[in-house]
Amino acid sequence: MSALRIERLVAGYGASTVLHGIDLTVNEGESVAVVGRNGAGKSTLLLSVFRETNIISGAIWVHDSRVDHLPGYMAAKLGISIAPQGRRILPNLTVKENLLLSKATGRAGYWDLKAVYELFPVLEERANRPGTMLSGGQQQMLAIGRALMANPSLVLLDEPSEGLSPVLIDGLVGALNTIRQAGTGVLVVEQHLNLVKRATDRFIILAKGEVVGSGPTPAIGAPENQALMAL
Amino acid sequence: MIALLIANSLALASLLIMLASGLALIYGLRDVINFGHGAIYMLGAYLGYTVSLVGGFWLALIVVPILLALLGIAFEYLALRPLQGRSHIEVALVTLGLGIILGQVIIFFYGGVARSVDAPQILSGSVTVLNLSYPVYRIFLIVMGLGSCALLALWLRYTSSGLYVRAVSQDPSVARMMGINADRLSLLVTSLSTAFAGVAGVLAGPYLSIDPGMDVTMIVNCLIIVVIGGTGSIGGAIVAALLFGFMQVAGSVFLPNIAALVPYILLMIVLLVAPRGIGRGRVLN
Repeated sequence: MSALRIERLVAGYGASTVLHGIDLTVNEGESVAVVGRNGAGKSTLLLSVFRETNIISGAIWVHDSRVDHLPGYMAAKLGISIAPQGRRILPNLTVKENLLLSKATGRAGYWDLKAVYELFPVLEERANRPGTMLSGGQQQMLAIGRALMANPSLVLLDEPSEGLSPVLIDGLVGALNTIRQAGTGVLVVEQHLNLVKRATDRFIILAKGEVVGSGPTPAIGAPENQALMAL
Repeated sequence: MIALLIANSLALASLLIMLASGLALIYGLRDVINFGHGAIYMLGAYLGYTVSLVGGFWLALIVVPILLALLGIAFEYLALRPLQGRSHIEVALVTLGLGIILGQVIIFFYGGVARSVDAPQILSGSVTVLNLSYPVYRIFLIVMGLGSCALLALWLRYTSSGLYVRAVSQDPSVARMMGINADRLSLLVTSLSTAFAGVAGVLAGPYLSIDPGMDVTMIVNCLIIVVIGGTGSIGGAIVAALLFGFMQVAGSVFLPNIAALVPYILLMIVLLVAPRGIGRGRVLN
């Protein structure tokens, strides 16, 4: 059964159109990467699920519910959560308060404060500090932890490795695999192919707002896929 | 002298806190400066006058906030929600227009003469503390002001709905993506804000005069406080109200000739030094 299904999505910002008819299905428990150059529309694709963009046509389904006409918060309540690009940690809230925000979805499940602290122990150590007082890597953990606290069936991660050192990226790969083992699906927008290879099952390539390629992750290094990613 | 000054500042700040924090809450959630807030406060004062005549001050203190909370619900459903997505200036002008209409309706029913409400027996007279005689009603006002301020702070700090309100005030888009329904919160916050205006209106009765100009004076003061506090920052609004109350009272004692200018001078200084205000609010669009 699909956790997220996007059909012929045309979306953008204001008068400009960024996505030109995207089709994408992510099944429950699956880990999928969206790759492509800057400006290909990857972040726009993720934000559209929450109606943070101007949706012109097409449909977005979360499980059996069509969400592209519902208020943005409904996608989260129905089982999709996001660690957005740039982390977007709320500065006036503590680490713990940032994590507790996602309880607003009212969804119960594996992920609670204890499970998130087990995955990212540093968040427990700094639970009462302002969220933005953390280092870049820690803020990324907080953004992912916050998304998991919603107990989603699918978590969307937008450039999680951005600004992280190779050691931290290794830790991130471990965390993504733990998330999958807990039964949570992952849709990750990522430029770092090493991470994609180690943490996802399959990939789609986006170029100029269209899906131009896809395949199982081991094939991502093939010359034809490399060429498509450079479009 | 200093103790009296501080006590008088706190009495004035108590009313201002109740009104300015309500304004800051609505701004935080809806990005709307509610210019009609002064008129709602005035309605609270006049309704308080009527209910006090019929059933006494204490009944007014209970009934009027409930009536104004219902008005807040109507305001949310009939004005704020339909106007979501319109520009700030359009919504602000609608609230200004509604405030003017409400003010005129009040004058139509009550006329243009000033009214006064007597403090209940238990709150009349003065007490002597540390050789200083001070009106009991003002002490009651301070207790109510600081009490409501403490309740508001506890709600924002320790409840999940308070956490969600803080989140929406900081970043509505992230709050939405985390599953927070801002509309439902706004209903709560708008009714709370108008109920607070009702409490302030009833409390103002025995302290200030109830007259048709009271809304304008108060809304101007509150807007200054909200901007000084950092628009959308409730903590900032509380601190700014205390600062404003002190400057206003101290100004009238030490610089009586320019006392009326003191709030504006304070506003200019804060905006020059810290354009976001003393709290960590958002920049006013």
